[in-house]
Amino acid sequence: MPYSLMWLILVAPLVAFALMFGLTYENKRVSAWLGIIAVAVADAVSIAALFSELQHPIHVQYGLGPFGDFLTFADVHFSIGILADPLSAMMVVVVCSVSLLVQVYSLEYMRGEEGFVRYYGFISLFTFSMLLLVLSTNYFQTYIGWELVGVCSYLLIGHYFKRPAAAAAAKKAFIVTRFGDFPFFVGIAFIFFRFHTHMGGAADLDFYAISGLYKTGLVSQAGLFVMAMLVFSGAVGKSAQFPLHVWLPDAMEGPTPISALIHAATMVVAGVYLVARTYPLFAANPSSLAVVASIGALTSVMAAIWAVAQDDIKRVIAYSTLSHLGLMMFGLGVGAYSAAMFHLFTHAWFKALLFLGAGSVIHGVHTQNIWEMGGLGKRMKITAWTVGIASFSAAGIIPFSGFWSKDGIMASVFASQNPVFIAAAVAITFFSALYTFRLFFVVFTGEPARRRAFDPKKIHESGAYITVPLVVLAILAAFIGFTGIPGSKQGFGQFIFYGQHPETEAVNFIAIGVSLVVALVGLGVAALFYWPRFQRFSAPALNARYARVYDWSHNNGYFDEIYQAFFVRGLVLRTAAAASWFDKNIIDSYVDGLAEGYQLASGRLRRLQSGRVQGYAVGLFAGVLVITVLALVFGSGGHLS
Amino acid sequence: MSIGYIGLNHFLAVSAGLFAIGIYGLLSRRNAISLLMSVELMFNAANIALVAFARFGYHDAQPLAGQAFALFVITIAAAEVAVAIAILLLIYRLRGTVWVDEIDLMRW
Repeated sequence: MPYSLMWLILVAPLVAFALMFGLTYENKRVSAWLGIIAVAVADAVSIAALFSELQHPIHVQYGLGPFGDFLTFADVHFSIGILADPLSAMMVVVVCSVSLLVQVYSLEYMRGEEGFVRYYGFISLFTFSMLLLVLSTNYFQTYIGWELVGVCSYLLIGHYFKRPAAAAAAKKAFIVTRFGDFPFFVGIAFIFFRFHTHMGGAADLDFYAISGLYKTGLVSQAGLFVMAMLVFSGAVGKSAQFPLHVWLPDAMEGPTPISALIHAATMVVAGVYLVARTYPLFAANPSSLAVVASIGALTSVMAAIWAVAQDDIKRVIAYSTLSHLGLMMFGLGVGAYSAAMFHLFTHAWFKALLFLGAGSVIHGVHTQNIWEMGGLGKRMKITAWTVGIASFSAAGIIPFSGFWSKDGIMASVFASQNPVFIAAAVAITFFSALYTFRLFFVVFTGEPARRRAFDPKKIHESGAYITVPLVVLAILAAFIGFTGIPGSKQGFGQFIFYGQHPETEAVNFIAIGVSLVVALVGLGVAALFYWPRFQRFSAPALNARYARVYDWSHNNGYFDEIYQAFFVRGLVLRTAAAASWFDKNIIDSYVDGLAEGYQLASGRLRRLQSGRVQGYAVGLFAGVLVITVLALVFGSGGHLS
Repeated sequence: MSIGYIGLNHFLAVSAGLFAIGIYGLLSRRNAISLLMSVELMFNAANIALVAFARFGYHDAQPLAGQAFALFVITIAAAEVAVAIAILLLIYRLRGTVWVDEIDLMRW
């Protein structure tokens, strides 16, 4: 396939967005199908590009028509282009495919909802923005896509903006990620100024041209560390890593398909993708990689523990997402570049599937509290089976996809021989299996536990628009892992890797064995507590006994409260009060004073405008007289010639 | 300057006098027609000065420039008066007066 066709991937969703808001806003059917067809076109081109890369891995990049010289002044040259390499080809397929499935799914899930076309329009805009970010050739373009996906995330979380919780969650997501975006921007400026004079003909901030410059000694190790940390800050905000993780659970206020698309499969992995894309920078400074690994591990462990104590089906999955994102960062930090990207790839399918399955459940029972569910397996067979496959995959149990990708990361963690990291990896594996199957058992097995908020007889499987995407994703979640079996000659690791050659690490059977056993133990514990058929222990009794631990976990480590007390009330509100005072008293009084002065002066001056012709004539002649006298007195005595 | 000889200054004196009369009329009369007539006086004062300067040899390169200007001024004055009379006629029809101190709609 000629890579020159890849601009279609970007343009199709953008055109759909423009048409929806410009032309077909009144027609729901046409608008929705417009979005679906556009993303299907993009998906087809993406898959063609992926197969082309698979046959012959190559790095191609070019400017996007007139945008190739997006900004040019003096010797500064910013470009917007398209980058085709194995990594971006893999990502565009993920983004387009999940977007396509989610849009089909939304045909039924969002039917009759207020703002239906607005919803589809913003999904198309989001898809475009995400693809712009993924196909970016340089930091500048990445930042544009970065902010655009942030805005789309804000708009879609706040889809039900009449609900105060949704509006607040949208604001929180936007503002919290800004704390990462600002340092990221500073980092881009830093990189620009350091390497601007060494670009050698390439556009400024170009990833490919800059990747060779980090190790040339142009920047000291300390400078590289600062650079890497600034870029990583952006990733921390977007991928919801500690300490900016607080926005992601609240983002579940958005419609469930949005959670699947933006807050599981695509946007939140943008941070991981950014670190992978700028990996030469991190690789040039080992201490920055250590920070990435530590933050990732910490986020992953904490989120996995919190997920066990959540009551809201979407929040459990949200914390699961946090945990898996942390795991990807962890993997990148310990040098498992291929494995982390592979986990990003498999995670997209099984996590989108988990969310869409949860959406199917919510659609059927109209509640999000898992204790009001239970026993749904008999009534929603397709949903139960597909979510079951997703659960096995997410928990990392052989042979489902999550096992193979998580295993690659585990191998690198074990190879690092850092006992803290190994302990963290084991904990992540255990809690992942525990919370995933806790969710599955509570929702799909046994009888409704607390109260029936619904009539069990009325529950039925969702329609085909919902079940078909579930089945497609389930097939992917079940089998896609075989593309990356460790040690294989044709696998994922031979396709996407960092450096000149693929990582040729021997298969680590200890890591595989430990991770599998621990995951099975987690599954077993979940069954003993939550599967009615095998139940031996009572979870509420355990929670009551270790109330402190349970409360800490149930309340997400009290991070929201801590931030609220110290950060929002202590810093933000005080700054806001000071700024408000300054605005009201200094800025406003200056502007008001100016306006009042003009009003006073004009009130007096306009009396001159008498409307009497002769008054004006007097003024005219008096003026001529004055000028004549002045000319005679001060003039150079001009004479006629 | 001998008595009996009429030179440039005589003409300029006539011109200045005429101009002064024009100004006086413009500023003192209330009737718009009188105002127009005063303006005509001022035009003619300027014309006399122009022709006088030309006749008495200033600007040798273009000896007839003053006369030519005077002809232009006469033409333009005629056109201007035609327009002005038309406007005044309309004002008179609408408001029943041509007294300029009563025509003051264009004030603040």
